[in-house]
Amino acid sequence: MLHKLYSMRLSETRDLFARRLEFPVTRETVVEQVGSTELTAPLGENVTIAEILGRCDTDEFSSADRLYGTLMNFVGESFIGQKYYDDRGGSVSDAGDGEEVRF
Amino acid sequence: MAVTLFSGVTGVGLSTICQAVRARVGDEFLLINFGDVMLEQAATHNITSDRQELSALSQRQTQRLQRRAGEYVADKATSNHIILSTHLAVETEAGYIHGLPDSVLRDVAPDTFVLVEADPESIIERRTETDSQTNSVSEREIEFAQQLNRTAAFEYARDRNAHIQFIENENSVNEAVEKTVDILTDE
Repeated sequence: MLHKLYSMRLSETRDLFARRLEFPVTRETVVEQVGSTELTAPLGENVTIAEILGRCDTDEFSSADRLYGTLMNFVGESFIGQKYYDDRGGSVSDAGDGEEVRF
Repeated sequence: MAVTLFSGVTGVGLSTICQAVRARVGDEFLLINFGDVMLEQAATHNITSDRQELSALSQRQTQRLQRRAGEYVADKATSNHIILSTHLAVETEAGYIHGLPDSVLRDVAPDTFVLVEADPESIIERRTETDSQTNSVSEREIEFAQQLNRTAAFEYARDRNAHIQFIENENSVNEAVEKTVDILTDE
């Protein structure tokens, strides 16, 4: 049985993975080691890492980048806001102001 | 508390080094990937939850996400030593731009800049190993990007009265990690 011991923002899982996991790592190990960690949802109910990974088919993660990417893909609507919503009174989007950025 | 900023071009092994270093230091340290925080913000605002799609953002959108990520780092730095992984020079359609605009640099307030570099040939090999879909890039282009990182680091370090450290990740990642741990724990 999983016990909810920790709660953190999604972006803070990068530090958690570095402390607790060695890559490549199986989904089973991730769930065992950090699955009970609860992620604080900005727009709804919190969710554990185990619950998120239960939504995907990946059995092994080659790197922290892959694991973080999977969490981003499957976190669900409580982490995805309304289009152009801004909790600080402006719009984060500036569609049409041209210059694009590549990371 | 101290903010140590790590930067290097894609494929240099920056994530690997930062994670290995974080695993070796105490709980007073916190590893933050600046791009993760920006992506989290982008998802919250339903701009994108796909890191690749960050490349489609306008410069202004990117700068707003950068500012929020900078505020987050500043907040975390009040209670933790920060290991911050980010880009100092960002490639845009119009050319490279600063990775840390003035207001973000003030918020992040790095004490030390650590530049991780490797031979361009090695970087190309690593990129190919991890992503076969990667766009072809020449050794000279990588050399250019690494040189821009140096220039950006020097400019930021001058503004912050900070130090620059050099880490070579060419032959042994363990050596690079050892040297980096020494830098963090000597501060």
